[in-house]
Amino acid sequence: MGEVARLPRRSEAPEGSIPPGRESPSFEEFFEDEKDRLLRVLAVITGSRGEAEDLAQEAFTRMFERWDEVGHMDDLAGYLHRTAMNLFRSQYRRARVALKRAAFSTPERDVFEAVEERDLATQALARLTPRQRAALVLTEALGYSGEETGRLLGIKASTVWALTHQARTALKGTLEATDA
Amino acid sequence: MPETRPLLERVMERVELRPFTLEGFHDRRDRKRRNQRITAGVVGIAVFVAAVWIVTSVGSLDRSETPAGSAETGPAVSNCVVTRCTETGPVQPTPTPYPGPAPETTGYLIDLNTGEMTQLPKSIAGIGYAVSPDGTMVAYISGDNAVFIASLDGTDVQQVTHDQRGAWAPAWSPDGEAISYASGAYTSVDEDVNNIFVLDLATGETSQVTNEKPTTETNLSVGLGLGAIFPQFSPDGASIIYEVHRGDGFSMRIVPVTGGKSALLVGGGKNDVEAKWGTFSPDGSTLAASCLGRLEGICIAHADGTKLRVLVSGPSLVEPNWSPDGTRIAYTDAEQPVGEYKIFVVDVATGETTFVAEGIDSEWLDDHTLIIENFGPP
Repeated sequence: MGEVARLPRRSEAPEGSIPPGRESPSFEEFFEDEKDRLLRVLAVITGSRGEAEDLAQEAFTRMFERWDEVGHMDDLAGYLHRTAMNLFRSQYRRARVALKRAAFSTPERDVFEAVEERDLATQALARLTPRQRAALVLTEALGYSGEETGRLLGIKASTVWALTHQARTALKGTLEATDA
Repeated sequence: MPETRPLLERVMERVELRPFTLEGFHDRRDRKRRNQRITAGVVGIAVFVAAVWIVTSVGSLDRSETPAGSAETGPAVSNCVVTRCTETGPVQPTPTPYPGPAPETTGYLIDLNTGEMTQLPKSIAGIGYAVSPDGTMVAYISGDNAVFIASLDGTDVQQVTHDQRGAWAPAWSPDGEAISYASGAYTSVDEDVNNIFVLDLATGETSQVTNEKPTTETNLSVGLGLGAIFPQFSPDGASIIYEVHRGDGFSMRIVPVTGGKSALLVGGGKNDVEAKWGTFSPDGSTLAASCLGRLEGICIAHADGTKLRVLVSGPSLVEPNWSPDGTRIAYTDAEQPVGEYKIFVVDVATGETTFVAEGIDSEWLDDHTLIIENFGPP
């Protein structure tokens, strides 16, 4: 597998970034710019659109309620993602809630089921653990460093590296086996 | 092998999003704030009423100490409605609809005959209450996911597990000398799974009863490493039943309390049924569980898992608990969003159901008293 180029963070990307001299966006503009990407990121990590929507709702709510303080930040998208990942962590640390959520629901991974049959890459991604997917999405889709990803997930940078390595290896193995 | 980043981007692009509009965002936020304000208002009123009651009571007590010959007598200090909950504070008024306890507390008692409610002492605030066989103690989860035991009046609080992997779902052995619990996976991103342990309260020794292993299927199906959870002793104390997901659906299995080979009781896709939260009736003759699949609702079966049938039908009826006399089962209707779950009691002989209160979990203290567990917004 070739070297993966670092994806620019949202704040560095042309789309959605705040050019020098431009005023900070309104919350409404920010919401419209970022909601789909955040939902997609969370959906791939959690495997559930419902969970992704709940997390996105809470992350946007926290930003909305502090918009006067955070609205001028350069890296608004980064702040949003950090908030969402903190919620992702804290949500699951509420062990009882997590157990109940899992226990009340029938097996739910609607994100992957929707495309699983027609997309081998998605099928391969679905077979990763949530932690592997989170490490992969944060480092490669969102461009966070290992240290930053470790802080977001509450694990060591070395563990992030191990998880992404495991994930890549698993993806490669699944896709090669399918191609054979 | 394609690059990982384009692959991720492609998968994310293919996620079929449901509408998530700014208007919908504000609607959900407004609803949540409104609920929080209502809760805060109700709690404030309850605190005010309690304070007035206390002041009144103290005044009455003072008057009762007036010189002999006075006709005034003070009311009893304790206003609890349940034995062994004396002197824990005043009974809250009984509003309609029932508002539930303050968000920072999670448990209260409700007398099914009178509807009177008593908040559990703050010193035993927690989740997953389990009442000891003699009805004098509770085990619960508090702190950093550790099992605590305490007297129901809030005294004698002891932390009895100290496992860094957490502990939850405590259950007492029939003789009250041991507690089983699940431990192993602290978060959903852990790759270990839960297993069932038994703690000897006298010696502090812990033994592992189950040996569930992480499986890709479990992670795929459930999204986190559940493993073995929600243990319950059999009435003879010789076995433990527990819930597990091995990739073939939720099932109830039974294992000797000393460990060893487990056996499937119900669920696991057998006859297209999954089963969760299994628990034996007090006489050990009947198993109750929450069923999914072909049978949906609160199910009962013979103790060996045969003759499985629906007692109460519904899509999200969970956590059945037998009354001590074995005639009724309390359960949670989780059809609504978290925070709006409802507790019901069903008469096993007639199938008649009765709404009790809002709450996420229930535990029988005696044949006419339930401990209701609830919590505020996550």
